[in-house]
Amino acid sequence: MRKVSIVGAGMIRFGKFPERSIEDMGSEACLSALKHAGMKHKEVEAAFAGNIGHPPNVAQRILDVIGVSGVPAFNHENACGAGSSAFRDAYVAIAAGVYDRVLVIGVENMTSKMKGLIPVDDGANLMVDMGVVAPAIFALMANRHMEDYGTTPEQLAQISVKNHKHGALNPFAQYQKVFTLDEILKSDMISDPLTVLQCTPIADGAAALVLTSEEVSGQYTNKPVQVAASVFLSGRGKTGVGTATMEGCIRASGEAYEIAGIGPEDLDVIELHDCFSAHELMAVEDLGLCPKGEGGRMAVEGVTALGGKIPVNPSGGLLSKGHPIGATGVAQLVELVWQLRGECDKRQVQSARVALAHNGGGVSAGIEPGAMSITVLTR
Amino acid sequence: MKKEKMSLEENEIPIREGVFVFPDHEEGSPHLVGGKCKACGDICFPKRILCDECESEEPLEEVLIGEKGVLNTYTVVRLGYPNFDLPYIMAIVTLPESDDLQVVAQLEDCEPEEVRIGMPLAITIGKIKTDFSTGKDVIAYKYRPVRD
Repeated sequence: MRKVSIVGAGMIRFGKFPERSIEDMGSEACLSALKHAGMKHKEVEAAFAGNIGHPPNVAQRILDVIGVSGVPAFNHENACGAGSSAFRDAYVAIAAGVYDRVLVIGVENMTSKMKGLIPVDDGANLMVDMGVVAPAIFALMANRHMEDYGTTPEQLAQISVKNHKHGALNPFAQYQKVFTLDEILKSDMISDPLTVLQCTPIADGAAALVLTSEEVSGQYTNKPVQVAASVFLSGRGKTGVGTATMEGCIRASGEAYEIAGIGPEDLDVIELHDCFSAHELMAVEDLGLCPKGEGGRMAVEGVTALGGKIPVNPSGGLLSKGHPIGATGVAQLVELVWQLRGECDKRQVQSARVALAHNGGGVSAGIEPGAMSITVLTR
Repeated sequence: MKKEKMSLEENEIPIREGVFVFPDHEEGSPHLVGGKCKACGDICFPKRILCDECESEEPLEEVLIGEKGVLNTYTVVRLGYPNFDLPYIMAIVTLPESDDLQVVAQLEDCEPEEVRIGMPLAITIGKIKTDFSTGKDVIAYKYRPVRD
């Protein structure tokens, strides 16, 4: 397997843009990433796109707008992990020696189609049909976490305080606004203990990456970011780990650390899937950043804030930056590429050299994520 | 003792065919339809075709489970899809028939204030939502507290 580099990263600001088509948003993100890479559009050999809610051939339609018709294009649906799914296959294709220059696109327009809860078709998933809406999944886990470890609603809400504080420094975030602990706790209750300001908003947006083989990366940049590990797996029906933890995250991050030859203590910056505050609570533990049960304490003590020992979601995360589903996994990697290159201005994590992205999507037979992606990037 | 529902009415449809059964007599209990592996003995719900816990190629056999359970965790859903009556209590129920066997269901006959993780539960059958395309009540398995 060959080594894979990321030589360019771009995105549009996430927000509510019901009038913007996926071609419009996707092409802007692609051109931004190509410009960042210093790569000509006609050099692109293939493209992989993550998207879940739009008519077929999303990648081809975007490529056509930017004058790259005719190249192989692959479209990935994998719930909220669609963007990482596209990235993963692009990585594999380059590592296998099939292509040298590939575009990865994540794009979604949600606000033109829905409000509030993400609708799921009747019959698609028994758990959802029974009434387990997305916030309920994480509320169920949060309540068990509180029972098992004494985690408090205040600790949980502190995660959202932190991510909104980070997002206020990010010009690409949907909500560039800070909220106090009190505001977050007193906002509308959605599914106990999760209040609305602990739930990711729906959003529109696009993000793109330019991947190359390590061999050709030097043609584009003297600051290539290396993909040290890319692990993608599905949740198991039975896990044996209980309901306040995610076995898929433990398994995927364990594999990723082994492949990259690092441990969680070596990480400098993390973007993780905080679709709800409770997901970050569990993910920081399941990624091994702290012992099980101490995720709430970590947030309160500022360990995961900018300036702390291991900043988590400097972009503002899904809670503040927004979560246009197919774009999310790609946008996490865009942020980390920028962080590793020192291009993040006010939200820059100083001297970041090792970064991890955690992106989950949907639910499997149990209450585990359907798709779970862990990516380790280094410079 | 509450009389359990014995069959569907005209204005009712089941959430799925084949995932639960009504009591087979007046004093009986509803059950979930699980799948049991003849090789390793593991039980899953809903029933799979083949076992996920071992390498046996033999199709799982139907087994009736879920009469009793214990509350693993819960939440009060206050924002939901419009065809659900809000709020409702959503639960994960741990079943005793197999290791690490859990089922999600709504709680019935229970106020949010009295819910406690670890409380014993019994299965029941009732309405969980309305099917907007037909206007019929959607009927599914639910759980209720066991009161002495």
